[in-house]
Amino acid sequence: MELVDERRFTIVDSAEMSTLAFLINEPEAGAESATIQKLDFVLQDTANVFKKTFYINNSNIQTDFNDYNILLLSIGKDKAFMNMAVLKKDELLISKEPSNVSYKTFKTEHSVSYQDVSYTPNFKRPISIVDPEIADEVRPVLYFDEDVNMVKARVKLLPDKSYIALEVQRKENGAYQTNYTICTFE
Amino acid sequence: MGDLRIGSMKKGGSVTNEDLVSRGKTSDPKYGPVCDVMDITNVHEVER
Repeated sequence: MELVDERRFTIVDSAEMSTLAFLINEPEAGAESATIQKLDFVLQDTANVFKKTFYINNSNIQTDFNDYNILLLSIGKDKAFMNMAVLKKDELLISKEPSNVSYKTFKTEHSVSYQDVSYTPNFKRPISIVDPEIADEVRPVLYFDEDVNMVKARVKLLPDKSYIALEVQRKENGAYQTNYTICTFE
Repeated sequence: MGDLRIGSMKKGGSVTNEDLVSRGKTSDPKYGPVCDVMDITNVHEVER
């Protein structure tokens, strides 16, 4: 794919790291929590250096002068680094110091198959789940449960494995804060 | 069916967009800013 007019920025990953980028959407009126949306990228792979150019869909470089709030998650074998960023017209501002995320377990020997996990999503406090092993987001499937007359969510997870849970909140001063924790399915 | 246990976010950590520095810049916006990942994964790294 050739990027022509999209707003974009490029992250150069080492062979040991894989970076995900999420666009932070404005919270709805009266809400504190923001949803995040994984950004697509174009990959150039040269000599174990992975050049990822992330782009914002429907954002024209010629006419769009907005600043975009970005969450960056760089995932390695047993640790990840989290940064927040602002994409300006021709500049990328990133956290002065990243936050460290450490995890130990991926899966135990007896945990070999994915299992469906259902839960009740809190739309006022959306939480995203990232699988560090595949360096990608675990996307829930929403469905309507007629038995309880509620919208439920279902995800496929491996037991006894570490996942990274993320939530983004807007502070009173208008800044964004991303909170994270490690979660497991037991 | 088991439970998905998400611990308190306070036990994890957090990062904000209140203390940012420029890590990638271009004079030609056509190409967009470029950032080396070492700049964003090294906690001891400071401004270029």
